[in-house]
Amino acid sequence: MKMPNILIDQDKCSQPELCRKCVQICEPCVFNITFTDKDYHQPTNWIIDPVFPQLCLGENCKKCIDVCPTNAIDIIF
Amino acid sequence: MCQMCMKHGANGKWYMNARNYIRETAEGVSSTEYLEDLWGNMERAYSRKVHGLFDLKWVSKHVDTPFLGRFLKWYANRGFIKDGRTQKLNIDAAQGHFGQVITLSEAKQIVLEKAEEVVRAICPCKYFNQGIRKSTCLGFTPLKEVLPKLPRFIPENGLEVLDGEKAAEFLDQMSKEGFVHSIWAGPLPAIVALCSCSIPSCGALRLRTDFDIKACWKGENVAIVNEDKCIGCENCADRCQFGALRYEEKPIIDPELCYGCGNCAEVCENNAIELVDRNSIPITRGKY
Repeated sequence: MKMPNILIDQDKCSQPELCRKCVQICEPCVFNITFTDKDYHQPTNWIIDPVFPQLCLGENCKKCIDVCPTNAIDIIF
Repeated sequence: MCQMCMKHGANGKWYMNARNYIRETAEGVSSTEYLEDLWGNMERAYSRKVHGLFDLKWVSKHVDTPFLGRFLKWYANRGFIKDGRTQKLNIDAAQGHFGQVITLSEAKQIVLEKAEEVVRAICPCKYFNQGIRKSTCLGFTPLKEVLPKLPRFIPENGLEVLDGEKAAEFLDQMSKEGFVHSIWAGPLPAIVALCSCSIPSCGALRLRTDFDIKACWKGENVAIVNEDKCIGCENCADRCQFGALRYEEKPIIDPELCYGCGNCAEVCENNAIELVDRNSIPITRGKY
């Protein structure tokens, strides 16, 4: 299967750690809550990273796009 | 016979030796420093470089490529060795953090007879993969010392030390909910955690099932169905996390996919599913 390109607008995704709705709704667990810098005490260092886009269920699912309160997720199939 | 199990194990199993659970063993391999780094960066497990070259996120996208995929898997698997340490560990590669699936009875035997201290921690995998904060990991002595430095893995009601009976009861409950038990070294031979995992929220088991990277090994057993004893209760039908059990009037278990966790055997009303030694069957012999 072709790998979809999952784009997360990190500016719109302002509170990844508190929200994490996309991570919870995704059945194959495509998303990963992670931090960019060594200092994980800083909430701004936390991001949501679509690590395994190859596991995405495809165009029929799109649950993550619907659940995102800030419309930060865009998927190019 | 596995070198690791011969050298550090008891009864042919590395995790059955009570020595691997005591403080001196953990101190001998600097377990607390190792765990502080590993658990402290657990959420970055997929983006850290394996042996300093590739990250698992990149590797996972190329495991199906001919030749390159085989090389990458071999390269990544070197970090999850079972045969003990031969060189200095590379902590960035999760090297030495070796895990294996175990059965409920083995898990209970460990908390009741082998472990020194047992604490309950929030499972980092369920958090970073699925966004759920759930206290399903049991940690042993070294983890108990590291957890106060990593407050995000401490359950809401504080760090709770469980006695053997309570831990066994907890494991029973986890099994009822369908979780698979796994035992983790960090690094070998010190044993640090006993987790209750599910797929795909387990960081290691999913690497194994989705990308064939051996972050967690299969258990010592394989489930076999005794068709004469099966009364067709269908309890086992939705118990397998690994897709090894198919139910068509009677359960059919693919031994090559079976991890030997015993989840199906646990719910069988007539004990028609039996766990046998993986090495007693030709097609699964030595295949962990």
